[in-house]
Amino acid sequence: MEEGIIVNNIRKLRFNQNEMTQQELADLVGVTRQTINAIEAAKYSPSLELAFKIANAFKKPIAEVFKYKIEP
Amino acid sequence: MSKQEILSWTSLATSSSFLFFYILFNFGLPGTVESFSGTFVKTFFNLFWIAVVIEIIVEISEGNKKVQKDERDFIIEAKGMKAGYNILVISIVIALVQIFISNLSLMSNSEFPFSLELSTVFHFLILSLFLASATRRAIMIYQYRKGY
Repeated sequence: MEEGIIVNNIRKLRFNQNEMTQQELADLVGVTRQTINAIEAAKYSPSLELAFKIANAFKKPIAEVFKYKIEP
Repeated sequence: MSKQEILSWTSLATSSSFLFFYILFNFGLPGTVESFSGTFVKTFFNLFWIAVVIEIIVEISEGNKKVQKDERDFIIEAKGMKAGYNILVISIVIALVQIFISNLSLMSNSEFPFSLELSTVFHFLILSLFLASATRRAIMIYQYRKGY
């Protein structure tokens, strides 16, 4: 089975949203700033519920925020 | 550093202090390090109180934050719990086997290999408890440091 990683555009989306800070996004979705940092760095894959909350915070479909990238 | 990570460090410090003082009061220190006994006692005593003070400060300063714990903290806690639980289960099984061997030894009036006194088994279980707690916190700190 091919291994892949979940990549995201959170950093780019934050900056497009009036340079929203990690803490502001964390407060919006109900997690700690450290969790947002870990997600941004692709060190932690969020639950489906949290992924939807983050996408909703940016008013974007989930596929525009998170992508599953298969390593060649 | 998040509140949960700081609390993991302080809990590791308090668990280590308890482990040290339990060993000191029940068995004493081995001859080779006995001359440093005073230094060890002072270090662990200070470590314990510093950890308690840090916990109080963190509780006061971070207590009003909206999110205290989230899904990542719960996953990291579960990983730590799993390691601690495994150590505890293995210790309990060893203790039960020891009690069984001791009973057999008593019933047959002969000395069995690896048979221990009940007080030793009790000390072993208490030490395992502290060790499991320290391991749980150490695994949690490792996961936090790794950035999981």
